[in-house]
Amino acid sequence: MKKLLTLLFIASSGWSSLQAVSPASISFENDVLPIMTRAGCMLGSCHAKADGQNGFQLSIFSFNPDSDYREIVYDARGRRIFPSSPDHSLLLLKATNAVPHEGEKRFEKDSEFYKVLRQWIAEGAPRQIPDEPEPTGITITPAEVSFKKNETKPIKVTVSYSNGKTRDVTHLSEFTSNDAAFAKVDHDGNITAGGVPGENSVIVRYVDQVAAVRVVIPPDKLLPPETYTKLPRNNRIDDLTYTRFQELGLFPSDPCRDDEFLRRATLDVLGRLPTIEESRAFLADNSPDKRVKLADRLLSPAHRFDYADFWATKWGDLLRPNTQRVGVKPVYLLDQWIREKFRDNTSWDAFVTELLTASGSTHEYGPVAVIRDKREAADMAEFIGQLFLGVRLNCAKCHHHPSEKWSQDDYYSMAAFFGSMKQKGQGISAPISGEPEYWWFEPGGKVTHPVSEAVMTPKPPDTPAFTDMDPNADPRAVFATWLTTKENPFFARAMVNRIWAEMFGKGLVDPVDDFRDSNPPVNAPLLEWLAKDFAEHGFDQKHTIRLILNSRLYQQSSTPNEHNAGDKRNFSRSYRRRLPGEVLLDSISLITAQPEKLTGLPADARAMQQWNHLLPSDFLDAFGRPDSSAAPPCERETGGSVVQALHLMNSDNLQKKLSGKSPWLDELVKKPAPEAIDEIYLRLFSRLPAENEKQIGSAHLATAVAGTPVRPLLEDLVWSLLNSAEFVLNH
Amino acid sequence: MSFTRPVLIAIFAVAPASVAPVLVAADPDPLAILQRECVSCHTEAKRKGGLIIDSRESLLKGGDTDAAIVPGKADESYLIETLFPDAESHMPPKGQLDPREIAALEKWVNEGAKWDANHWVKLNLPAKTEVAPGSLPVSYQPILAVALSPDRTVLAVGRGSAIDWYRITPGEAGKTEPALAHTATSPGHEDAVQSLAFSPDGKRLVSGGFRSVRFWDPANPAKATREISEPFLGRQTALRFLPDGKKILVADSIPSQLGRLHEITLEPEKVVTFDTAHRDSIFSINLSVDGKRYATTSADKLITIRDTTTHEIVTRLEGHTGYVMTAAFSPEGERIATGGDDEEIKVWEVATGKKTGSFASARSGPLYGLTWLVDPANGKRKADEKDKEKSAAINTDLIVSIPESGKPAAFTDLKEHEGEQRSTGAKERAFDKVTTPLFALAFDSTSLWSYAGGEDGKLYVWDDKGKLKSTLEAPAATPPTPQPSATPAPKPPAAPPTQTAAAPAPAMPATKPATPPAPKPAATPAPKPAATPPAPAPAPAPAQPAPAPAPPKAVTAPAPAAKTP
Repeated sequence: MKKLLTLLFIASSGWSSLQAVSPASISFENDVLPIMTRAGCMLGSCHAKADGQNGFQLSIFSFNPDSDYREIVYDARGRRIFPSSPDHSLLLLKATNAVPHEGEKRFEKDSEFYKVLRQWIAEGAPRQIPDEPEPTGITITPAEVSFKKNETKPIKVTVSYSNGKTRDVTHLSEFTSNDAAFAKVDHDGNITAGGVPGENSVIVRYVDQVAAVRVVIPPDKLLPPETYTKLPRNNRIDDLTYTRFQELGLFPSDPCRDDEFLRRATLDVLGRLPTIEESRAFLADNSPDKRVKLADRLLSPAHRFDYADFWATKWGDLLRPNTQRVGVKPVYLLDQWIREKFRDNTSWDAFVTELLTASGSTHEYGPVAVIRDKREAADMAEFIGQLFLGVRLNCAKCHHHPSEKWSQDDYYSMAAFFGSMKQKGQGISAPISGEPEYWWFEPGGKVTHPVSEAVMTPKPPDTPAFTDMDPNADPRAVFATWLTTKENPFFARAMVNRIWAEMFGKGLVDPVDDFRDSNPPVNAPLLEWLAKDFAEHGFDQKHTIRLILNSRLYQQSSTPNEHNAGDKRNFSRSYRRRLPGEVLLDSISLITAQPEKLTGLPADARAMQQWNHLLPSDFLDAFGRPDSSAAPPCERETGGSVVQALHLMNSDNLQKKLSGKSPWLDELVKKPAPEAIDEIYLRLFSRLPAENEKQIGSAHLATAVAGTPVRPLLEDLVWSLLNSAEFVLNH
Repeated sequence: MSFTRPVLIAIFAVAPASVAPVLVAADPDPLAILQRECVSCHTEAKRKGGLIIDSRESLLKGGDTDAAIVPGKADESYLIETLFPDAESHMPPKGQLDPREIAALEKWVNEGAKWDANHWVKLNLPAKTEVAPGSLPVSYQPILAVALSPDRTVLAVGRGSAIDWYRITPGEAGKTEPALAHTATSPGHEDAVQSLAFSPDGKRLVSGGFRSVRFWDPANPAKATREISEPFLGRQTALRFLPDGKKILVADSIPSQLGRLHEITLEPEKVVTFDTAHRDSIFSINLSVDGKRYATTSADKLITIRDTTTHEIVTRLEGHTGYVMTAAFSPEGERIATGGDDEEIKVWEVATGKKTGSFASARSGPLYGLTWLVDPANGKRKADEKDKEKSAAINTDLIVSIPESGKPAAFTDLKEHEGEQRSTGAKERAFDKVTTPLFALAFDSTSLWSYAGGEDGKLYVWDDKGKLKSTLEAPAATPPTPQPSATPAPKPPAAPPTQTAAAPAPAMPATKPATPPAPKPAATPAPKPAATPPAPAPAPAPAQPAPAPAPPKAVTAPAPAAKTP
């Protein structure tokens, strides 16, 4: 006992008397968690892993402060803190690596971080302190920074609290550049511009608050305003993009040629190559409004089958469940339903409403397949959110969204719209699920929060909760009504962005279903206007497609000029895109008049008519169709690959198609060489050959030795052109 | 790449700034290098690369890539190979050993890799750091330990740094229910009370704090009767009297560094230490019903079962994926149930170490307390069943678990199974839930009542049906340190409150000071003269309080600093 007394006496010099007297000053949520977040404790690879690290489990981005508090202060009966001797708290010993720490040293013992954590423990590690304010948001100053090339500037992060106070939290924030090649950002919020003019964002995260700062690197020189006023404009799209180009010092490419426009527009709207006749007629037409007339023709009911098959393939990727999960028949029926809706050009609000409120038998009514697949209210909500709101809520299922404001509350209140469904019949019985299942709405269902176990009130993201809903109304219908009003901030915006991406190769927001403050559109006024225009025109997709086809912007050449060569994001020139697998396969089959044998479809069916991705096809696998075992919405690989190049050059299937029976090639053999070459160019490229191309082609065909067949030479010519970039790309 | 690293690096002194790292100029000590650079990953619990480094044999056995060393042949030893800068799987992963250190290890292997076990044990002991515990902050008052006297009449509750005493008046079957009254508060320890245990005769209570085991006389709890503070290095996180009442097992824990066991013999005082019990905190020590075995559970995810007399390890149970916080032997002693951070209760056969079952309640959170006894209902059914075969098939187990979620549960009808299907392993009966995490359990195996406490410092009492019978607020007790000026000092309980005044404690001589909160117990020296309590209190409790009867200390106002939600 005496020994203990002495020890205490010696050591009582410093802090030990201080702690109990001063009132608690350190807030767990406003001081401790920000420090631990910034120190990297809450990384997904460290203590915020699913099972934590060595028994210490924190929530990612501190989305669950209660659980974090318990882990730090009380887990294993208070193992991590030593309130009567704070410096000996395991928390601090590990963070300073004084006790071996796999995560190494997170901060120094003489650092501010250490002092604050230490003080908090000395004060009894309270969960809250008196009058503790809540953070209400962060502001970044400046919100937009303009840089000279390779210049470095700091930004400042300020958090506002519910009591009106603010605090500089730059040292507690984390910074990520959307594009590090464009602009780098360091640990302390210093942004360093790269060497290429343009615009992008740096994302700032302070605990669970996220904001983006716009980084602008203006061009070395802006072009005089009259350069833009002189530009011809076809519609509002041109006005709004030229305004943006002017700010960025970009100048649009020249208009594309007629043949380019014909091929591009036909591929983008109908997913096929123009026929020889269509090409000849369009090239021969001398009327000034022939491009407008072409747009009208492509969108006319006459072409509704091609149109529907092409666009239904896109939406099939997004909506169609896996046949091995929900069964063959439900998927087939859903596929047919989608095609029918696109053939009729059903307005987008009607399409989505019908899909969202479907009930009945999976073996009678296509849209029910979606519910059979997304059986849990939360899964359905996540799916709907991504497709029709352009919001990825999926992260918020388990934790706070890393780069957005969405929380688990948002996730499960959205799910509450889909929590009143009943079902009977066979559930999921993979891999067949052969029997029907029936789904219908029945009042009284509820969705509970997985952590708080609270019953959630239906509430769409960023919208007040639907507190006074008629308990007997199908909440899905209430949701659909909210979703499809003209004023809905998400719905039209998400769809026009998808249409834009289909027509230009990239969305104004990219990825198309990832709208968030930290991922702003490249041209916000344009997106807003398109969305408003789409809503005002009855959510008619063909209206928006026509608008795009008629814009000068769409009709630009893909050849860059000196003012837009570096642009990959602002649409100042047409971006070349590889043809989708189905389009390419159908084109080759059509050219060679050798239909592809497609399992489960009629002999003359096109790849575009396939209703699931399980049907075997090496060609489509090489050209990036969705993984057959993936759950919708599925993405496809749109890039090029060595496999693709080799496949086009060497595949047996392609060789057989070329050398097989083809009425077109058989006819060409009979024609004089120049005529045959013209036709081949028209067929593949929708244009006539240039002079040198004619010469090369003729020279090749002239190598025919008398008495041997000419057709193999023609096949060689077609083969080499099929392997050209001009064929494989939409340009 | 040439630097000298002090061999002794684990010094983190707090108070006197004069302690400097000791530089050793002699040849590097190979075992010290292994201990310093390798052991943190190559433990029983972590086994990186399948390798454990705790003996010469463990190195010969090696890990996933065969033997780590070939004695006499450093060139062929994988361990040596990994140390060089260009090694494919370089060790240590985030550092580079000094060339002198590598040379020392090579030499050591070439000379046969001698292993001095005692030296190794010493190397693995954390240095005894200077710790100057202040007092516990007033807002930190969780219940971390609860103990029930063998005669079931006294309950000791470790609340913050204090020990609160309750008198339990037994109920009469079918007529009255047991009643609880707070009778006294002992000063406890400087740090939080980590563990409590009654002696088999009920005449002594021992408590564990930081480098301190204190003895208390239930009849006179104002002051500790004895203290043992050597040779402890950390917190005394678990205590257990052996059946003869003359020996006590003590767990000595430094989180993530040490979990060793001491056996204290009382008369004459003697301490035996088992250094290598665990490599991390020990959370519980449990005695089998016949007293022949005891089990320790640890943050290293292991359960070690030892013989009470020889302390030889009988078996090690391995299978939990998190800290093992608690365990309970079965009434017949052949099985043991264990639980902890992985939220799953596992049942093992003690003799073979084989897992025979597992079950869990949904979202229970970590488990802090377990008890195991014969289920009265199933026990009666079994006894009444005439058919021998049917009788044998009736499972009479009853396991009660206290989890962090505040939802205790009783499990019956245990099923044997080897797989991991947790939901079907037993029949669950949920208790009334409370809203605070629970960290400590005392169980009355006669009445089947449960007493538990946790984060909010309140004591909760459930009856045998799992019905929450009472919630006892922390008494307005002796604050461990002077109150912050913001908090008014509790009023002297001039008139004892109604509910407890009617229950005098006959079996326990009332020794509590009949005065307002004793400001500073004699055992706890004030850290600073300036910090004298502001309370208008009389002198500290005398060493030998007058045995005059006095009203029990009452259950009155809530704790001075109620926990925030």
